[in-house]
Formats: sequence, structure tokens, C-alpha cells
Amino acid sequence: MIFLRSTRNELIKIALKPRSYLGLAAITGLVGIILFALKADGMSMISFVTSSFEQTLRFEGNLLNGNLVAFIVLQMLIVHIPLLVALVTGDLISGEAAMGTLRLLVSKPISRTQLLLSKFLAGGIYTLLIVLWLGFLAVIVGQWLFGIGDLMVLNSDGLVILQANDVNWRYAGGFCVAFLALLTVSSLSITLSCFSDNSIGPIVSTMAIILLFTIIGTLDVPIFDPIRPYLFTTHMASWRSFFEDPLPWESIQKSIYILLGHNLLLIGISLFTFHRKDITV
Amino acid sequence: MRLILAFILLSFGLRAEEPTALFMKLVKKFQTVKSYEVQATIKPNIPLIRILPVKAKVSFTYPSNFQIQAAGISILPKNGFSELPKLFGQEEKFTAIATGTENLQGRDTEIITLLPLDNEGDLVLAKLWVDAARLLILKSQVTTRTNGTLVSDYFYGNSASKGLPDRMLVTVEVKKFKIPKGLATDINRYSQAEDPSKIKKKGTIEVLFSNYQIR
Repeated sequence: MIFLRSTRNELIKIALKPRSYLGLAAITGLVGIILFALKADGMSMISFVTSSFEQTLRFEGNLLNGNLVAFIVLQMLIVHIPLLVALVTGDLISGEAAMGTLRLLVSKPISRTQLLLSKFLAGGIYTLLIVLWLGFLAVIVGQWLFGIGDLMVLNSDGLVILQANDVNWRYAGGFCVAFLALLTVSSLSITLSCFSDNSIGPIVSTMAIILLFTIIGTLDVPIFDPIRPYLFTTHMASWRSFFEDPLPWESIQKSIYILLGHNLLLIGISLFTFHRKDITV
Repeated sequence: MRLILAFILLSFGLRAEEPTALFMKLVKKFQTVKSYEVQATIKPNIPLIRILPVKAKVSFTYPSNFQIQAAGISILPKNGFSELPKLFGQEEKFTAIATGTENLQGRDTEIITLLPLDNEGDLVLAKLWVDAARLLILKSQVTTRTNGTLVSDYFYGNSASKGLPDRMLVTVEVKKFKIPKGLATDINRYSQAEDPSKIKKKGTIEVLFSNYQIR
């Protein structure tokens, strides 16, 4: 009971911070700009993708539809969302330490484990809200503005055209994996927050780690081959796997396990650190 | 000697007239159908493209106007189904030459090569494999400057008397296909894409026609 109350209090604290709305506002603005650009000149973007095929073939039907628009929006924005998540979750412990309220909080009749887990849960709920809002704008508003149609996806091994009635479950699955990836970012920033007494440090450190892992992941150097599959950033784009045909279920499962493993590891590290954190300073 | 020369000239003259006459018969047969609607199932099998078969309604209006209505995205050869109707609509612009015979689909066919009279036009060469007994085109190979070479095989059923196929198999060259890497590659993808040298150089688009509504 006390855990749920603590989670509610954490959610209220998140809701009262102006920066919590920055992410939602940024997503709304960015999606709005992308939708406007695609409405104005989306076909030229599509023809850039299909031009090689159109030397011999012709595509019939509505290529620029809501499903494709949603996919483009996700592809463009999912890379930037970690910053918006870390902006709020990276502040959950260190912000309290900076303001001096952490000492007060820990002196209440709640264990440090419950307090920390309630912060993790609140951070997870905020992350879910961000993903749902992105999903609403990309899929629902996209389909409302551009209509429903078959989805044309360009993968590195070719063009996949998925039928309109085969797309919604893929978006649902894709958003679940995207949420798990962002939850890992949230867990990472909260863990780093346990080590810091100021707000900026964990946020910047989280982005620095994501940047570093992404660079390691994309560098085509054999020395990184053994670690590359285990970096969480490698699996942040796994939501795209739901739009392949046939579905690479084994690869998706592996990504889910690795992301879940990262979350458990990060929660473990933060519990260990938070229990030993000196709040008297 | 004069007799031999006359025989040679006469035989060349006859051979030159026969393909033109056969081609004109095909044109006349084509002109008997002014418009129709047909249900089509389009089944592309093209390297680098994965797509399920699509059902569509195809409407034709003489001479070469095709309209395709499909519920979703479908893939067709660049000129759709209008390669042959375009040839038939400009019969005066070609010279027809007989270039041999071949057995196709268990039937003897005469090969007619169409050479354009105008060197500046889009068409470079067209070859038709004609079942002269039934006046049906069983195969066509059309080479244009803009689209390259397109080979189509035609299979006939109930609407053979009107020259309308039940099944069409179009072979397209795909060696020019390139995936724009910057757009396609996932920044975090570590699995390797298929070796380009193992990708097939040709693909097919099979179109099944049913329920012709000739008007």
C-alpha cells in the first residue's frame, strides 16, 4: 500500500514539473512538422525510395497513406525520444538530493527499496505516456490525415509491402518493444541519478552512454563484434523487426531478453547504490 | 539463270508480305474488342521486393487505355498492360519481318519482328510469337529506350476467341535495383544483408485474369 502511495506521490511530482511537459510538447511539435511536410511534399520523398524500382516497375495504389506516415514518424523520432525520457527520469533521485528533500523522504516509514522501486515505476509510467502519445500522434492522427493503406517499408534487404489489415498488430508489437527500449533508458538514467547530487549529470551521462554505445554499434570494426549484440542500443531499433516479412521472432525475442536483462541489472545496481547512499551530506 | 533470280525475288517478296499480313490480322482481331472489365490477381515474384498477391479490377478502353483499381498497393510492369495495345494502335509505324518459328506451349508459332520506321521513337524492337492457326500471341518481347526489354508470356482459356489471355507472365530485369542505404539501413542493425551477387537478376509478375466483361 505504502509502495503505491509512494508511486502516486512520485507521479504527482513528475506532473508538477514543467520539464515533464517539454517532452510531450516536443513530440507534438515534431510530429506536427513531419505530418505537414509529408502532406505538402511526401510523394517526392517516396519517389526517392522507389525511383530505382520504377525504372522497370510501376507502383499502383495509395503509397503515401497513414500507415507509411506513422512508420516514417517513428523512424525519425524514436532516436530522439531517449533524451526526452532522460530529461525527467534522470532527475528523480539526484533532483531530490540537490534540493535536500531526499533526506526527508528516506526518513519516512518506507524502505529505501520500496522508495526506489516506486521511482522506477513512476519513471516507467511516464515513459509509457510518452510512447502512447507518440503512438497516438503517429498512427491515429497519421491515419486520420492520410487514410489507411498498405505499408511499404524499405529494409536493408529489400522492399516489403504489408497489407493494411496486417499492420495494426505490428504497430502494437513495435510500440511494446520501443517502450521496453525506452524503459531501459529510463532505468539507466535513474541508476545514474543514484550516483549524482545534481540533475544535469545523469541526463548528460545517459545521452553520452547512448551516443557511445550507438557509435560502437555502428562502427564496422571486428574488435567490437563480441560486445555489439549485448549493447542495449543495438536493440533500441528492434521495433522495426515487426515490419519485416517473415517476422524474425527469434531476433525480437533476443532483443526483449537483452533489454529486460539490462533493466534488471540497472535496477540491481541502483538498489545496491541507493542503500549505501549517504544522505546526511 | 533469270528463272532462278525471279524465284529468289519472288520468295523474298512472299516472305516479306506474310508477316505483315499476319500482323494486320492480329490488329483487326484486337480492334474487335473496344472495352472490357476483368478481375485480376497480380502475383509479383521479384527479388528485393516482398509483396502478397493483390486482387484488382482492370478496365480497358480502346485503343490502349488501362485503368487498374486495387484495394492496396500493387506492382506492375512500368507500362502496365499497354505494351501490346500500343503496338497495335500504331501498326503503320512498323515493318514486320518473319524471323523464324518456335514451339511454345506445345504449339507451333511464327516469330514476327517489328522494326520501327522512325529511328527517334521509344520503341527499338518488338518480337511476337504468334500462333497463326488461332491468331493468338503466345509471347512478346518489347525493347524500348526508356524501359529496357520486357518479355511477356500469354496463356489463353475461355476468352481466346477474343484474343484475351487468362494468364500473363511478365519477366522483368531487376539488376538495376538499388536500395538507398542511407534510408534503409537501421543504424543499430548488426546482421548482414543478403549478398548482392546472390540476388536473382530477373523477376516475374504473374497476372491471372477471370470473369471478362466485354462491352
